[in-house]
Amino acid sequence: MRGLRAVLVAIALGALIACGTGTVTTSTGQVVPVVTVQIQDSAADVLKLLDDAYKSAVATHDAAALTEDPVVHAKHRAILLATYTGLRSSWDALIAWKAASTGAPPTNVLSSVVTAARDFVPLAVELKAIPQATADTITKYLNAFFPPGGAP
Amino acid sequence: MSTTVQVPAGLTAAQVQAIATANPGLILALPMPAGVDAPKDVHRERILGWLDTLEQPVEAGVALILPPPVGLFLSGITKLAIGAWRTKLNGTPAQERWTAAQMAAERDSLPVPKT
Repeated sequence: MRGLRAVLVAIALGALIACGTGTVTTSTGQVVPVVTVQIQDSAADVLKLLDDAYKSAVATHDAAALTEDPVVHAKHRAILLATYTGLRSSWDALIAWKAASTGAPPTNVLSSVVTAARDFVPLAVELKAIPQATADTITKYLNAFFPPGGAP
Repeated sequence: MSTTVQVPAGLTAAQVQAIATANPGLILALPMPAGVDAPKDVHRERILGWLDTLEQPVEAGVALILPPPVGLFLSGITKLAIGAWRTKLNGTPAQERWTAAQMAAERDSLPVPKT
């Protein structure tokens, strides 16, 4: 993902007070407050970002099977498998939230993947699946909800 | 009431954390992916609010500042333009960017490492 341009940053900060009102009839047929749908969409954006990085990292990882140190390769595989499990769980949580449309803040959705993501993001950079700027953005987002050192 | 704001790329993790701590209820979201617009419904509601607020002062200002024939004409044009804008915005359906089916498809597209 490309970094956020400075102008967009200014616009985003300027819109700090902006708040969604009204409701949306979602694909599940439920009538949900706009702000809830926006938060769900934002959580999906985060997971999609991680998904894309994960897919790219897996492709690079598999391609390096014959050339990489077996110990390093096994370590990378363990990180990728943990990320795979975490991502699936997070999508499940988000889909469940979508169906229920009550409670379940983004922390519930992301808690399944946050631990794995902390190991995965540096690996994704190492495997050139994502640029450092994207890794920094993901890390900032995760840190905002799950401060380093705290329980996920 | 929650407020959603995109995380600016230029902020440090400490700054983001400080914002989150100082603003309970603030939802920090990632920047929109390239080519994806911000949710129209949120912008729509915000702009409609602005139109409600600005319409009367703008019309009155135009009518007061300019000579009567021109002022009245421009005031009428302003009213028509704002009305058209409001009608268009009201006609824009609020929508979700991620459906449950899209989420499930994304989840199921995840590959398992082969090696």
